[in-house]
Amino acid sequence: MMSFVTIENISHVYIKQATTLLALEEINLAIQQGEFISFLGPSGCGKSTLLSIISGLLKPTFGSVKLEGERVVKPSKHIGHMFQQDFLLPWKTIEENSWLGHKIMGTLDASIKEEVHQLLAAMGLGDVYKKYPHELSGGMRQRVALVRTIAVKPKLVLLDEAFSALDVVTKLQLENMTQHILEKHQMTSILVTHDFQEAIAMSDRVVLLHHNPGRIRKIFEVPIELRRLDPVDARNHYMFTELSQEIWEALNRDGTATA
Amino acid sequence: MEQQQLNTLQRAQKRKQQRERQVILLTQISILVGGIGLWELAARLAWIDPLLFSMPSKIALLFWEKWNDGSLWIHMSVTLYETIAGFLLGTLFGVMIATMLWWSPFLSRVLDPYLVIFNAMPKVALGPMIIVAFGPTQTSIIAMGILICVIITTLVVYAGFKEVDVNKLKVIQTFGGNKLQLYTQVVLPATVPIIISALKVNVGLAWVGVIVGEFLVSKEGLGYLIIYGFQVFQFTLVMLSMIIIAIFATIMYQLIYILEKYVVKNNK
Repeated sequence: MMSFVTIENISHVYIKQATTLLALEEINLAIQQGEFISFLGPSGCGKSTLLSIISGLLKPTFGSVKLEGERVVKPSKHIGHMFQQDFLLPWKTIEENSWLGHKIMGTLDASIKEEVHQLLAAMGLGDVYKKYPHELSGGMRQRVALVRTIAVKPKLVLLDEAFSALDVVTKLQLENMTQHILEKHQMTSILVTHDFQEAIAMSDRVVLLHHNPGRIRKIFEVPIELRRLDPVDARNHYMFTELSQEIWEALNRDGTATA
Repeated sequence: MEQQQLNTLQRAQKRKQQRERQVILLTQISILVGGIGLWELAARLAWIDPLLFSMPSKIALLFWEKWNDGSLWIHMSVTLYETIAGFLLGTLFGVMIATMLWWSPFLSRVLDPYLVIFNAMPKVALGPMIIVAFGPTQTSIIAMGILICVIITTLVVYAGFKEVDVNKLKVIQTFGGNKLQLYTQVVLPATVPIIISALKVNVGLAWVGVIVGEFLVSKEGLGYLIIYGFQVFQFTLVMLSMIIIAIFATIMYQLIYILEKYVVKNNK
């Protein structure tokens, strides 16, 4: 069976004036439709580089990424990207920020606007359509960023440390919301994070990356019992503790623990 | 604490701030009135040479006279038109050149040293060249106004374009946005506050360009009045023109200040 996303032999070299840096080395991975994958590793292990390559923003030195058999060479409307910070445009209102993707693609119309309003309302942002980003809290802004990403109905959603800059309560709420909305729309997702508990709570598989150069070290399957639970509830399950322990030991053996 | 107590405290604080503002305004007005009074007194008692420094009463009289015969209005409107045209076009051209430089990194690297040289140069020195090129017309004067503010606008606005958050550009790129969309959706709106502060600087610069231009060629305008007053040794006329320029320059600056407050509100 053909995989939904295929990452084939990706290697990436950064060439600076004085040095060359091998950021990623021979990354291979097949991702099935609807799967939630996490790339876990310390900062500087090339996680974000990998995500930029998958999204088509960055051309890899070697190898290729395929989405439904087609090679990704530039950003596409089928791939959504969410960043560590919201990067909302301060001069646009919340609703204008939310439908920015459609505006860029030239697909904005009345029915899209209505859809975006519904998405915002579902995220508890029903009464702030006309406000500006600086009037909202950090958690609310990140929810707007999520709506902006989801609104164009991407097949693949890339989450680049999307929950890392938030306080614990907001982070857990947003993890739950994100998982619900991704499942509802049957979107495939790749999360990049340095937080192994977040990775376990949200994913079907956790890919542990080695650093310098970034290589796949080990892939952990998350037990089906945990996958069924919300990220918040999953954290209280005994199997979560077991897998955490396992990954924690792997991280320590690698000498790359971040905690 | 009781709500009433809080309200009383707030009212007291407000009254205190209001008093401070009143004191400052009162002092400012006293300086103006006192200054004018002192000037009048000094000129009348011949502490200063009234021929050189004129005196407020004479200036006011001249203003009244020139206003009534309609000639002052013509000079004022000519200069005002030239200045507004000069600084608006200068800013517009500056933003356009900055846009070209942003669009083509090759062009910006090639032109960089030329811009630096051109910026360092005293633009009014090019006055005679402009008059040769455009003739002794109003176009020449407006061209002086443009010339004096276009390069600095280009440099400042281009620097602003380059400082736009790359992550905001990335957001547009992930949606497949092209270069024009990067420019219209992010780069230009993000730089609006910088363009407005360039406008503020250019108001002052354009006045310099236009007045110098009028010194060189014109037959009307406030710059012409200054040079004419100087030539016939009528310093009351020179002073009157200077005061009118000061008033107009302040008004224009204040208008841009209001525009800035209105536009920059949601740009943080």
